[in-house]
Amino acid sequence: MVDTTYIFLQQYWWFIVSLLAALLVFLLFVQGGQTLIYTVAKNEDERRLVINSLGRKWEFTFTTLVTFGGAFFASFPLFYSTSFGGAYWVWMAILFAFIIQAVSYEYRSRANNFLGAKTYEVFLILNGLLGTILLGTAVGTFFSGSEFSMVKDNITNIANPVISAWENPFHGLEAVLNVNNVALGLAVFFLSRVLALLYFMNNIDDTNILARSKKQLLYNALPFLLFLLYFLGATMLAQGFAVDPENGVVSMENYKYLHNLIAMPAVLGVLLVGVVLVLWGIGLSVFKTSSKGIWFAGPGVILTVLALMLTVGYNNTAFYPSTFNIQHSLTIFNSSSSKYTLTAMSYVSLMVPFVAAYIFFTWRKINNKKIDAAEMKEVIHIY
Amino acid sequence: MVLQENFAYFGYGYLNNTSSIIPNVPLTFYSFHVMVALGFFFILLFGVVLWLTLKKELMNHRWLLYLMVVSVPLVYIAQQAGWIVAEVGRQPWVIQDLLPTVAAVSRIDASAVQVTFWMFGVLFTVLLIAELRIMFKAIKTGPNEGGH
Repeated sequence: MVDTTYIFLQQYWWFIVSLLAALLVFLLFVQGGQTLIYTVAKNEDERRLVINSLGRKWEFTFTTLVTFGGAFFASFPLFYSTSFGGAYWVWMAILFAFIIQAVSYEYRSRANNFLGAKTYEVFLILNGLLGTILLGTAVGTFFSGSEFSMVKDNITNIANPVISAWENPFHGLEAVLNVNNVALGLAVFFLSRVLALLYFMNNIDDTNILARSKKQLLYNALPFLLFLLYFLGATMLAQGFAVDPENGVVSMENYKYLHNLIAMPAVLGVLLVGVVLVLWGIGLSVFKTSSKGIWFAGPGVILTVLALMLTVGYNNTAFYPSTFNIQHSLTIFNSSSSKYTLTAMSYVSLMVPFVAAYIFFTWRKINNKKIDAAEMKEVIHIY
Repeated sequence: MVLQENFAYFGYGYLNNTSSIIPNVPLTFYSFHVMVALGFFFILLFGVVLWLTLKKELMNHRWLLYLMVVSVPLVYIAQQAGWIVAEVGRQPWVIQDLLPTVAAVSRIDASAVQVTFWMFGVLFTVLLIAELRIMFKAIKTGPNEGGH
C-alpha cells in the first residue's frame, strides 16, 4: 500500500533543502565580494569599508551553509554518506576554504597579527573563488552524475558492510573534468560577484566604490549570463535520469529536465520570474545607477535556484545520479530518512518562520544605514 | 522474514564476542566524574563570583581572581572529558543495537584520512599561534577608554 504521508514528507523535505540551497546561493554574495576586495577598493580605507560591509554578513552565509548541509544530511542521509564519504576531496576542499574565511575576518586587523592583513585578504579571496566554484561544480553533478555504487544489501556483508563506494580514485575531483559542471561552477562564481557589486551599491556610501562597482557589474554580469545560459541549454537538451514510480527502475530519458519543467508549470513559472528579476536588478543598477538592484536580483536568484533544485529532484527524477550504474542512483524516495524521522523534523521545521523573522530583524538592524568612512572611525569592533 | 523479525538486534550480527559490546569502562567512568566535578566547581565558582560582584568586593579577593584565570583551561578539560564520555561510552554503537562503528566506516583509504588529519593539524596550529599572539597583545593593551 502506498504511504502517501511518507511520500509527502519526502517531497516536503526536498523543497526545504532546495529553499536552503537557494538562500545559500544568494548569500554567496559575501564570497563574491571577497574576490572583489582589490578590484573595487584601491586603498586601505576603501578596503576596510568593503571588508566591513561583507564582514557584517559573513556569518549569515556560514550558518546557512551549515543549515543547508545539516538539513540535507538529516532528511536524505544516504546522499550524505554517499557524497561526503565518496566525493571526499571535493568536500574537504570546500571545508578548508570556509575554515580560512572564518578566521580571516576576525584576525585581519588585529594588533600583533603575525600572518599580516594581506595573508587574510588572500584567504578571503581563496574562499570566494573555491567556495563558489566548487559548490557550483558539486551541484552540477546532480544533473550530470557521479561515479559511485550504492547497494543497500551490502549492509549484510559482515566483512565489508559499506553501502556506498566511490568507484574512481579521484573521489569527486573528477567533477571538474565535466564542462557542464564547470559551467555551473563559474556561473555561481560570477553570480556571487554580481550580487556583491549590487550589495556594495546598496550598502556602502562611497562614490569611488560605487563607480567601480557599477563598472564591474557589466564585466561580471556578461560571463555570468554566458555560463548560466550554456548550463541551462546543455542541461535542458541533455538526457536525464528518470525513475519509474512503480518499480524504482532508473532509465535515461531525452530532455528529462525540460520535461520536468513542462510537467511542473509552477516551477517553470518560478524559474522564469526568477530570471526576469535577476536581469531587472542588474539592468536597473547598470543603466540607471540605482542602489535598489539587489532588491530584485536577490529574490530573483532565490527563485531561480529553487526552481532548478526542484527540477532535479521532483517528477520522478534521480537527484544524485550514478554514472557507474544508473540503478544505483539516489532519489528522494530511496535515500530519505525514515517516516518517523521526517515527521519529527517536520514539527521542528514549524519554527522556521520564527528563525526567518529573527534573521530579517537582525539584518535590518545591521543595515539600517549605509556604511561609510566616518563609521569606520567610530565603531569599536571593526574587521 | 528472519531479518525483519530480528531487525531490532541487527547490529549484533557484526560483533564476534560479548566483550566487544562493553566500552572502555574506566575511561568512561573517570571522564564522566571529571566532567561532573568540574561542572559543580564552575557552579560554585560562579556563585561566589556573583555574590562578591553584587557586594562590589570582587577586586578585594586577589586569590579568587587568580583562581578564575586558572579555571579557564579547566573548561576545555571538562568539555573534552564530556566528549570522551559520549564517544567512548557509545562504543561499539553508532546506532544502539543496529549499527556498530565497525560497520559505519566509509570506503576511503586510511592514507586520505591521515593526509586530512595532518592538514587540519598544521592549519589549526598556525591559526592557534596567530590567535594566542593576538589575544596576548589585546590583554597587554587592556580595555580601551570606552570600557569595551
